[in-house]
Amino acid sequence: MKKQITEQQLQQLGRQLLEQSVDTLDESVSIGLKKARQHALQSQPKPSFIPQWSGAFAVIMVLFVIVWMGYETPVITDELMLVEDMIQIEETQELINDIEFYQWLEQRGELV
Amino acid sequence: MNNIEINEQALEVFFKAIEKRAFRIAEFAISDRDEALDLIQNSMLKLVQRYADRDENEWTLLFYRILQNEIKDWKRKAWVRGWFGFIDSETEWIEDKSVQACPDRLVHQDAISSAMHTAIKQLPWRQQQAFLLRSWEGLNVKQTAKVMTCTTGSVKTHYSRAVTFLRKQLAEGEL
Repeated sequence: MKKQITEQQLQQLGRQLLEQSVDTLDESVSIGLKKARQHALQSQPKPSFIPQWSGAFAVIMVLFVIVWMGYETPVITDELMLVEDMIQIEETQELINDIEFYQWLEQRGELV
Repeated sequence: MNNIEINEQALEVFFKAIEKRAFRIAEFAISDRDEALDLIQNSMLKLVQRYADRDENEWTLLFYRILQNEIKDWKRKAWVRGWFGFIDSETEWIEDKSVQACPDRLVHQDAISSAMHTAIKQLPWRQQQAFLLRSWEGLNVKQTAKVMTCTTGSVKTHYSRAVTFLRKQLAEGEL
């Protein structure tokens, strides 16, 4: 009469066999599994430190600054003051008005 | 150490713990070592890319579920290849390759292990997977059903048939 194996024995035997088969995996499979693991881990999407909405935010900020700057009174630099002085001086204004005449004189050598 | 590094470490620990058994399960299912490695890699990739942020306790079920789908897809493709007449010689080749490419199977030296190994390989795929997931991976009926995307009733049926077949095979071997 054939010996009937119980379900528990079968499970135990199966587990034993499979654990044994795992322990005896050859080197090439272990290397293959290691490569697969590393490849998978490297593919993990890295969340960026910069939030996704930061691009839109940056654009809005730039637009805001541009608009705001448009209403800003210009900073008065030395160069601007010089130009202003030149415009205000009557003689200079006259010089600018007659610039073509003075250029003509210069060409003729009569200015010196 | 930030959360990403912790998560990566946890994933690595998880894969190290599960990869060899998962590989054997895949190898049992498709009888091809290289293809089984590919399926494991695909499953790892999908788990990392899609479910890495899920709770660690869910990873085992998710991983085996992905692997089951990978195996299913592989079998479907093999079936299509067979349908177009390319499979006959290839199936033979796969079987031969499986036997020849496993010199590490010291289990074959043991008659019981050898008989069990052969018997498991002879099981229909779903029965085989139900048996392996339940008896080896220790999943309960409900978890196995989730992994195999079927009802608990189907798992019970597959498992019961697998056990009956294995008992018969092993008894015939007078173990």
